Amino acid sequence: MSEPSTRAVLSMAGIVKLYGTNKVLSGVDFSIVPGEIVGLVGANGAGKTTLLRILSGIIPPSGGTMAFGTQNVTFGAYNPMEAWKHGVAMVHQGLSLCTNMAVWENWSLRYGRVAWKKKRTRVAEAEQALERTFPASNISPLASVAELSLAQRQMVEIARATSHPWLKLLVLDEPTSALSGESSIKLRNWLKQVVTRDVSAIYVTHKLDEILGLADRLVVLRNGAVCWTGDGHHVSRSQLVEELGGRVLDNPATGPLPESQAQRPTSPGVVGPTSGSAMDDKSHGEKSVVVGVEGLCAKTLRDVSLVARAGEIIGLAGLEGAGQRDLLQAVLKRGRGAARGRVSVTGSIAYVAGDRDGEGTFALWDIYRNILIGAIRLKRVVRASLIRWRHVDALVERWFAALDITADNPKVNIRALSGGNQQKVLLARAFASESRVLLLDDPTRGVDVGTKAAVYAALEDQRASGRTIIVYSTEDAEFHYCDRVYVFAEGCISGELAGADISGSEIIRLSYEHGPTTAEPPTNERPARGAHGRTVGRLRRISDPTKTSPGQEPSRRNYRHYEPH
Amino acid sequence: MLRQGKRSGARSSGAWTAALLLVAIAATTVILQPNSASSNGAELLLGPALPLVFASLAQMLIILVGDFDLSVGYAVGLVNVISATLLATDVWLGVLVLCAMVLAYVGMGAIVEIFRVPAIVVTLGASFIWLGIGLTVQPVPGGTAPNWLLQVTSASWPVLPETFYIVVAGAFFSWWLVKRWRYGIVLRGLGNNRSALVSSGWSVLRARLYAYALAGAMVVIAGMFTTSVTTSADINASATLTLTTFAVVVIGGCRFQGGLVEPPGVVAAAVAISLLASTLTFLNVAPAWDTAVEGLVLVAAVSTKWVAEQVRARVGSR
Repeated sequence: MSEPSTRAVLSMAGIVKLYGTNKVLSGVDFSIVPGEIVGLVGANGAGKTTLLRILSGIIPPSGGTMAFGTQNVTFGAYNPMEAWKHGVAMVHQGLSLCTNMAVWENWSLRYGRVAWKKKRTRVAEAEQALERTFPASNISPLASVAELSLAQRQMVEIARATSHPWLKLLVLDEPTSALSGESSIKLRNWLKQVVTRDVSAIYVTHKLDEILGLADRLVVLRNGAVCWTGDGHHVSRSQLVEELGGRVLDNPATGPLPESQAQRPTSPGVVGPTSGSAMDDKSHGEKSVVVGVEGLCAKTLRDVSLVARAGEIIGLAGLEGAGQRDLLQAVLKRGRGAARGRVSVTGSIAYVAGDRDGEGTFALWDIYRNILIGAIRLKRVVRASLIRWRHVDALVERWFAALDITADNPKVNIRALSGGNQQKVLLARAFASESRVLLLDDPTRGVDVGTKAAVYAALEDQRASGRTIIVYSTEDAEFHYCDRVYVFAEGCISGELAGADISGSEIIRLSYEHGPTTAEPPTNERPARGAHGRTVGRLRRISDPTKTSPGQEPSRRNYRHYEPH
Repeated sequence: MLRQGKRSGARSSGAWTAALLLVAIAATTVILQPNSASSNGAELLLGPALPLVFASLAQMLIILVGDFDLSVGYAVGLVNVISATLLATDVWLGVLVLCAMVLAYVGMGAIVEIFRVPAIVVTLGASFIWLGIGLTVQPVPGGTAPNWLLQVTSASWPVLPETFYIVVAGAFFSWWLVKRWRYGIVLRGLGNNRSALVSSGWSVLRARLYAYALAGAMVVIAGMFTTSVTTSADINASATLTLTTFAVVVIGGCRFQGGLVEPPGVVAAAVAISLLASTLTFLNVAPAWDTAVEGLVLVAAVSTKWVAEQVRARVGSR
């Protein structure tokens, strides 16, 4: 365990970060001593990324103190360059290489501000760094970054960070997300060596197996605070999952994440069945399959199969980037461009983009036209290429009222609305299209609690009218409105939950289910598991509270299929 | 196993399109009119290319950092007017004003960076300012080129005509600026990934100002050559230059996203486009068709380049 701050390379105390009224970090205390590897883990929205952004000087905190050794940091004058001067080398999740240059030139760009060196020296430096971090990786320093694969770029990025002339603290944010098992072992071997030279490292990852045995200390973030700290060499995977929030409760009524319960009664205006699946099953009997995905391999997805029926809300859960968004895209494209597998969709699709500013709203338009554009294909709205404004008025008025958009009238520019209300407009647009299938990409990201409740209520409303809704969300604790939830882990579906089994802790547990093991081929285990990871027998087994260490065996399944190149 | 990228120069396919175009057009010209291969002939044909060469290099430097310069035509025209009037009567005043032109470019860069106004807006606005100043200084075409300028640009050099050396020097210098100069890496970085630049501690403002200052200098050179070629001044004569520089930059192998430029390709493309007009005359194409045919050649060159890239991408991705 860590000694107090006299020896600490970095110590943070009471770090608070507010976005509006939303508290992302609520008083984080964190320190790291020389020669220590700290594993930082946390589920979606735990605040890992925010903490790292504060640490590296990208954003200032709303409160708290930070010090490098005995030097206190003044946040007003703190920026990435200052962090760098303190010996912090950051490897970001989003790659920060210049793709228009050669590998060695990226070294020049990074370190040229401190000391300019000749091309030959830089090339040698880059070559050495690549060789010591990823031996035999075969990346030439003269190669253009644009020609490298994603995995190779990630290696370059990591290797470049290790060239820091006075490296004290290496911060690795999901360093292996694009790396193959072999490269990630190389990286960890190198890390073990480098910490003997009094360099410290913060290793942030979703892949628990990677840090177990590597980290000296593990820090678990939950809801913006450190909820657990422990010795990284003496903790079991299942204990860690439990600390992350994946506990199986004795009494499901008192959850560790009370929001999930709190949300249930706050869904106003729900027409029809409130707790969906049971009632629907009675009324619809065997409902028709509207969206069917079979053995799909596309982008990060590996052998994914699922079904969505009429009048169902299907949740896609899991850690960010585990393949949920790729699935939405694949359904939207009806499987075109997929490497393998089949996607069948009956009827038209409406898609609500996750990136509101980038691909959602028409920023120069008012609410009226932002909704209208969704309905432009309807026969009663357009006849002989002419818009029938009377019908449009009625349509817009209806959805404007139904979603309770906070604006004087629909002629207000969409940019004048809050994020939550913009989201409601996008939903209105999708609803107005009268499509049978709705795809939603994290519709409650960055919106307030009231809007969330309204969104859930609106979705339940739409379910009652027989639509099929597929929602990707990172609100692990708030999937209560779904009939079924598929949990993604590293491109596979690691489990399917239905009805009363849907809970935040169960989702978190399944999110970490598919931990990567590295070298052993998993072939002998596959037949027993069921090919698509959604076999009911297996799921029952996972959600069985008596099984306390679910991750040990199933985690190896299918891993070899994923070799990024 | 992992693929290995070989060399950083492997992507410069665009420069080859420009070189091929230049060779094709030059060969056509020489075949149709063998005299154009003579020293005098080459001088006459290459001379008019100089303004476009340097105006395109100015455009390229702006595109390098991810911006567009819509004012380059009138800016060259304004330098043309100044060097045929002020510079001819009062050398030092003229030099001072030309330095002010470079500073004006720096100012445009500062506005783009500090106030976050899109470069298209800033340069479009500036173009009207250049036009206004130019018309105020010299309302109707006229003026005379300073004698010393004519002497400098018509000096005789061994073996090849002077223009040839100037073109090569321009290509080499701009290549060095972008690919070998230490700050060139920063400029390319700015065009590609601004945040990478910031987190490495570089001043983005300074980088942009450098790029704009260099572009301003190129504009001044282009304007002076306009004066020496035409021996008079007419700001409106340079108006069409702006769009031509964009065509040249694309054919030369640059990308509008910024960060990816090919100086030798740009120079080759500029010379090729300039030669095209004479080639068409030699081909007995009626002058009325000139612009249309030039446009077709531009479209063809750009699409060839695009097709080549698509094929490359297909082949490269497997």
